[in-house]
This record gives sequence, structure tokens and C-alpha cells, in this order.
Amino acid sequence: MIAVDLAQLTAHARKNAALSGTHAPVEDVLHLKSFCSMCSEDIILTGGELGLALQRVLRREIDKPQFIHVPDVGAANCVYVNQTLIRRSRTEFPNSEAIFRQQVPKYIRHVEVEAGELAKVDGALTCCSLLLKV
Amino acid sequence: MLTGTARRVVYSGRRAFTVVSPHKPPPMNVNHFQKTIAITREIDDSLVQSALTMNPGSQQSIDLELARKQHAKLSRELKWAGLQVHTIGSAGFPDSVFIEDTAIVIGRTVMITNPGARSRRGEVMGVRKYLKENFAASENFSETIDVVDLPGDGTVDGGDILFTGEVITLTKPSLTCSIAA
Repeated sequence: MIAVDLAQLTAHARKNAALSGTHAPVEDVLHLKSFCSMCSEDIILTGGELGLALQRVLRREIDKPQFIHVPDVGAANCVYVNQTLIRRSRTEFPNSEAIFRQQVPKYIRHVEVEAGELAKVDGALTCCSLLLKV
Repeated sequence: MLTGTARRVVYSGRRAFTVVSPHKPPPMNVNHFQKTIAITREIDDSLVQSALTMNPGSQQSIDLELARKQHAKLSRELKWAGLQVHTIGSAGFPDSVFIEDTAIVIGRTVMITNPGARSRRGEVMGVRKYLKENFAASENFSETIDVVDLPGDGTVDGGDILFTGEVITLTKPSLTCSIAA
């Protein structure tokens, strides 16, 4: 099991954002999956500066990790199940759309949903279900 | 990142390009991302007033009817992805819709969590009950699940666990204290 500390991650993300001159704020988040999720059997989707900081940590801990990175933290939480990627819509996150279209493996079906209301209380997509195999 | 071995040759004008196809999905028996059931939970009316958030400013502007429509759309898409969708009542908890935090699912084991926020601790009762009554021992399904409580005094939310085949977890003691109700 790999344990990542949020306080450290946020500090690194803020330092990096300042160093690279980006003006996007590093948001406070409720959960790990506020800024990452799985987007295929093997690929970890990350979003924003926290996502980049997470990638740096995981590259030290995992052998040959695979990532897709999107600029929007809110777009980084998707439900991946049964070769279907349920993700936020292109109208909500236009800057992340092209990355999804180009980088997600082609056997995966994309589904776009709008989830702006629950997002106002930091809700995302994986938050809303428990998935079981029985 | 493209690690597949299948190649196809694309001809464009006089030049041939070799395209590496993205790898095929792994075989079914080792695929952790094939599922048959989705458990969701209704949005409680108290979401607008009382749900935990980092953004209390935007919380007040939530359109509850729209939130429920969007939630229903998500449920439909889970159904169309091949899942049997079950919905549990909210039992009056403002954050009940965020059912992911009440359990960690790995394979056939469902570990009921002790959520970090005190106001959410009660949510797990309804989830545990529903899972045990419907899936733990049943003739309706080919496999049953083991529903267990996470041992110890620690707290964790399902949203802080990323299962990649291996478990990645986020530790955040200061956050738990600051939003615990």
C-alpha cells in the first residue's frame, strides 16, 4: 500500500505552481479522488497541480506507472468500469476534452455527464457509487 | 504510454506510417474494472444546508432539482455500462449521496469504513445493512461478497483510496479534524 500525505502534496504543488509561474490556484480538496482516478485498467488520470505532485510521488513508488494528465482538477475524477469511461462533459471542461479524446485507449467508450451541482459541494463522479462484482 | 504490440500501417500519400494501436484490454479474469452492480444513494434535501464542503459559498446556490437530474443521468449511464443499479434512501444524512466514502471495495471484499467526518459516521449503517441483506449470501448471484468492517480506531473515507491493482491512500489528519462535525 502506498500512503501519500495531503499536506505535503499540497505544499509541493503550491511551491511548484509558484516556481513555474502558473496562476492557477492549488485548491483545497476533500479526497484523494478529488484530483485523480483510474481511466483504464492501467492508466491513472491526474488533474491540476495536485495531480502533477501526485505523479511525482507515484513515479518513485510504482514501477513504470502510466498517467494521463488534464489541466482541470474537476475533470480528473471519472468512473471507469466495463470498458466505459464516464467523465465530465466537454462543455464543463473544454480544456481537458482534447486530452481525453487523444490519449484514452481506443477500446474505451466515452460517456459525458454533467455534474456541476454536486461539484459545488466538492462532489465528483466516483463519489456517487459503490461498484461490485457479484 | 502506448504499450500495445499490434501495429497497423497507414498509407498517406506516398509515405507509410506505422501506427501502434493502444493495448487491448486485459483478459476478463484479471480485470479489476469489470463490475456487475452499482449501489447509489439518494440526495438528501439537507445537502444544500449541511453537506460538508471546502466551498460554502457555492453550496448555497445548489439547485437541488438539477442535482437530482444529474445524479439520475449518472445512474442511467452506469446502467447502460452494464451494471445493475441499486439505490438506497438517504436516511436524512446530508452527505449520503457520496456513498463511495462508506466502503472500500477490493475484489469480493467490501470493507465498511469509519468516515473521517463525525457527521458522516452514521451513513455506514444503512450501507452495511443493504449489502449484507442483498449480496452477502444470495442465490441470485454467482459470487457473494464479504462485508467486513475495517478494524481499528482509525478513520478513512473511500474517496481517499485509489485502487490501481494496488492500494494508494491519502493521509490527512489535519483535514479530518477541521471538518469533523
